[in-house]
Amino acid sequence: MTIRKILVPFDASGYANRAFKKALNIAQIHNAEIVVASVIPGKYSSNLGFSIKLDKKSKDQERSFADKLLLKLKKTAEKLGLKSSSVIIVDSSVEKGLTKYAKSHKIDMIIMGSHGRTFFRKLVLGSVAEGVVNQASCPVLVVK
Amino acid sequence: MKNKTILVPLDGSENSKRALKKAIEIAKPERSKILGLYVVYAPPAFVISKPKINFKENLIHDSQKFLDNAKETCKKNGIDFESKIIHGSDPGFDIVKFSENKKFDMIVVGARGLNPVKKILIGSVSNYVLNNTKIPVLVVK
Repeated sequence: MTIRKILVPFDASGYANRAFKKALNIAQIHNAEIVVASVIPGKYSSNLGFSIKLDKKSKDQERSFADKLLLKLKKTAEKLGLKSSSVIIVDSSVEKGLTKYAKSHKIDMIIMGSHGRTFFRKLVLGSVAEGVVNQASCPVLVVK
Repeated sequence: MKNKTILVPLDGSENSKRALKKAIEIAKPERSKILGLYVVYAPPAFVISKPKINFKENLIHDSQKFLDNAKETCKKNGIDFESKIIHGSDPGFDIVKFSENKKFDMIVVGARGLNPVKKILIGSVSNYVLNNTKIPVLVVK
């Protein structure tokens, strides 16, 4: 079994940037495909600790923001001659969305930053990173 | 490109074997070195009661055996393997402390080791390492 597909969850934080760089590095060595993913909440967001219903406008905003980000990343990956694709996952829980995607699309490795943008829950290790490490069925590389 | 070193903490469990396999897989195209670290630690009960069987020697013997096996598998794949046995009381702490002095490019750990009490989710040792080191950590399931 070799590393063919690498999933890189991206949330525009510094840690995610570092994780992306590491992923590029590893992908170049193993000649792997990079899948850049961003998770946006569906109808309900639990970012503040309680769920609020999002109106359509803010949903569209989030989606277009994610689109722009992922396009940029895709271009940088393609400049280095790597195969890459981007995906926007819609799930209310980031961890679940990522692990589900990884399972159904046969991802060989997840590379992610240790901390992200979830402000309230990031005390020690980022809560999302910890959740993904716990739940994923593939190896997870946590970049600090 | 300079040679990289990957730290692989081993404890003789199935998961640590899998971690070693993954480490080999990553190391192969990069031509990096693998350092297998085995932390020998006696449970507190054994330290207090001072049993008459030579418990510690047995542990070291086992670890040496396991590391030799690991070396062989690395040799088959053409990778330099270095082994190190350290004595400690808390594997997670010792692994982090060990990794601080030397420059490693990655730590590859199995998600769950031998500790049966705290193995509910991710292993306690791998969790500790994940939280307390500054080096990228690859958790292998």
